[in-house]
Amino acid sequence: MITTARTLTITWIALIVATVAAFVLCEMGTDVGRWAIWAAMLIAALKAGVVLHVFMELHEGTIAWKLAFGVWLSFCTVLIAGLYYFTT
Amino acid sequence: MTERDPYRYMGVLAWSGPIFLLGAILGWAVLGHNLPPYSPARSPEEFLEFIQTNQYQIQLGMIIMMTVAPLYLMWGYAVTRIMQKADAYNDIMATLQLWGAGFTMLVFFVPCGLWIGVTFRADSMDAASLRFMFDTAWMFFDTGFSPVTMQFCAFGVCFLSDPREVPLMPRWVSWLGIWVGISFFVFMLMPFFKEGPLARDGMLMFWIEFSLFFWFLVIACVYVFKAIGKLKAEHAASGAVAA
Amino acid sequence: MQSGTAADRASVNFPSIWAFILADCFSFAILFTIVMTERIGQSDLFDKAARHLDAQLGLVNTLILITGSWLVALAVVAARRGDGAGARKWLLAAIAVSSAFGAIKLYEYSAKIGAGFTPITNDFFTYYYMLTGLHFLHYIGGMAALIALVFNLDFSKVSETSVLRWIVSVGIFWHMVDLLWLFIYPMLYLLPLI
Repeated sequence: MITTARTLTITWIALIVATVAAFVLCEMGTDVGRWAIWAAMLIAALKAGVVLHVFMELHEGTIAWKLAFGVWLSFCTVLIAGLYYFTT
Repeated sequence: MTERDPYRYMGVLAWSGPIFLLGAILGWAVLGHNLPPYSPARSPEEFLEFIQTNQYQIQLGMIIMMTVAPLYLMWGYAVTRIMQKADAYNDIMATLQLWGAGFTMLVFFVPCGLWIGVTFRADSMDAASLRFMFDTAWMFFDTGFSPVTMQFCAFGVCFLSDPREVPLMPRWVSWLGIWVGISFFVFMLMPFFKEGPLARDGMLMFWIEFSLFFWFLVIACVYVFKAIGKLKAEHAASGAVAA
Repeated sequence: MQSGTAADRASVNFPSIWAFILADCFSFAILFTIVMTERIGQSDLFDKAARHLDAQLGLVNTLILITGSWLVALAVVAARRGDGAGARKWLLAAIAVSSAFGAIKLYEYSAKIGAGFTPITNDFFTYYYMLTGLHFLHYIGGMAALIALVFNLDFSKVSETSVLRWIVSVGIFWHMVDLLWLFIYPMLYLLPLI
């Protein structure tokens, strides 16, 4: 699978939009409710997944590599979101 | 062939790695009561009691560590000889690696000498001075990470430039060496903490950073044996062609 | 445009630097675990201290890193096409854009220290400086690698495996600097606001 410049640019725009969205969500602060913690970290996880697969081309690796980074990504997301959500 | 064997002493050099590891674990870690190290947060009186209780074990452990320390240099020389074969035209990294191993040996020498001194005078010196000397040795031991960083980075950079189809050292081992070497920069934070994960007995400093040195050494020892095997096979093949 | 054996192609598409990336990412996961577990029991202190950080500067820095990553990815695509001059141009653009991250980060550090927030202020700032400082070291390393590529690599030989592998490998490292920041930013700047 060859990545094209067009794919990269669409990815870049999506990442920018997602970053601003997460920022706006968190800037609303305590008004939005604590579910926003999970929403913000989900956005971060999606962005990280996109960077890994589109920019870094993790899809070229074997299943073991993809699995290792999948574990890493899920672990970081659940760790950060979970400990923010459950420890006030 | 036998009298012109360029790998005649290589087995001795390669085995000094595992023997050093065994000596360090038995002497420094187990007998030296460094699993994990004594917390820098305890009071001088608690520290003095700890030293007096374990005086002879710590002394023996540190004597073993100082005795096996040159084996680390010998193992480093085995690595350098392999590196010279990995990059036949440029031995700068190979030489740096050897100097790195040599100066890392001093990091085992100097602190262990100080720790023996602490146990030697545990019956007559005041607790605060003894604890100060003990801490100082730790500063050499952990904050003195830079020679080993230089050694591991030279190791990785050289083996990554090996032009062989199947390199003498697997590429992941080379990258791991570079990463372990660079990750030791975390030791720069150690002198600022007396407790928590960044203190010398903390989760990050000891159980992760410090143990990385040993884990990497175990892996590197195994692949040094394999690399010597490959080199001997190469040598035998070229000899067969020449004959 | 790629030539050579299957092993050559594999080394360009999935270079060995991934071993380094994996070790580094997992060590940051351990750092995240340490920070998050140290936060337990003093989450009030952490969240109050975190509100002194400038989330808007953090946002700008995130956007800079994402854009730098995109430019480096474009350089890799150009290099794969055999367009050496194009690859060099995208790398120069990436360096220019990404240098703003360093400038902003240094400004942020000096503003924090000027306002009296140092690594010994409290546990939050200890870990703030530790995490962002280690990330900053990666940033410096990545910038140095990008600059070294632009000035030392022979871009006319971009179709050769060894030249292309350099560009791809440095690119992957640079994306990792971005990747780690995508977790550090919400962890230190954003989530304490909620």
